[in-house]
Amino acid sequence: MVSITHADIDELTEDEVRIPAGGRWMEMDWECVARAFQAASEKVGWDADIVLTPERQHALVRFPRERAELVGSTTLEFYCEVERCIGVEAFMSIWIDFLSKA
Amino acid sequence: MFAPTDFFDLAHELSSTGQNPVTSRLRNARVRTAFGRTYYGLYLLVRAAIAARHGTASRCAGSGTATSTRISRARNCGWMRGRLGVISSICTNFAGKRDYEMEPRGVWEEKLADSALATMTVAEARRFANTIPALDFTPVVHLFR
Repeated sequence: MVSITHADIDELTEDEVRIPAGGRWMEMDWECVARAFQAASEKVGWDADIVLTPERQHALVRFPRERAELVGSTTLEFYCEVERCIGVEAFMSIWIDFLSKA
Repeated sequence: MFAPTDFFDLAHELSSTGQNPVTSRLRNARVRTAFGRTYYGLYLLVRAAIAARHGTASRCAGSGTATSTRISRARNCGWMRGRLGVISSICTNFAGKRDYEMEPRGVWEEKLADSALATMTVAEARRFANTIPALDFTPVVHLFR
């Protein structure tokens, strides 16, 4: 499941990265980005919860603990699918983080 | 000769036992160490591949902070950012945190205790390691000289 949350960019902490190193800020259709992440997640069978935060160009992927090996061994396919859907520039401008589900 | 992939095996072992309640007291130390060994296993494989292909001295890239800096810089190359999410996530997310931060806050506290994330990272590194023979390192060779 993919959801979109919004954040105040003034509330970024010192550890957060608004734009990935080497990436750039760019306007995106985040509904389209959400569909791309959803399709990619389904394709690789992660059953992940993904939270997109447009103001930070950030995606947090929470995966089931029991699928840790699957997720790790299929990230390249996941990245390629997202990139195919939204384009390389947009993909490279999104910071993707991973955590397991509690 | 030491096989860098042995670090992956060790990291997997550490992350797996990190999920065991009996060893939970040392869970965070195991998880942090697993991230660290995964990174160095990957780094050594990349460095060896570059040395073999481009004739760079395998030891000249140094170790510790120097290696982190080099790979962190390398991730700024387009091909690295686009395809090598492994290195960027391991380096940028964990370097400087796993070894030095005693009181991680926010998401870092969660990451550095997440044994499943460590297991996932090891699997990601193994998968990435298999792609090394097909990678073009030309854009980053100078960083290893």
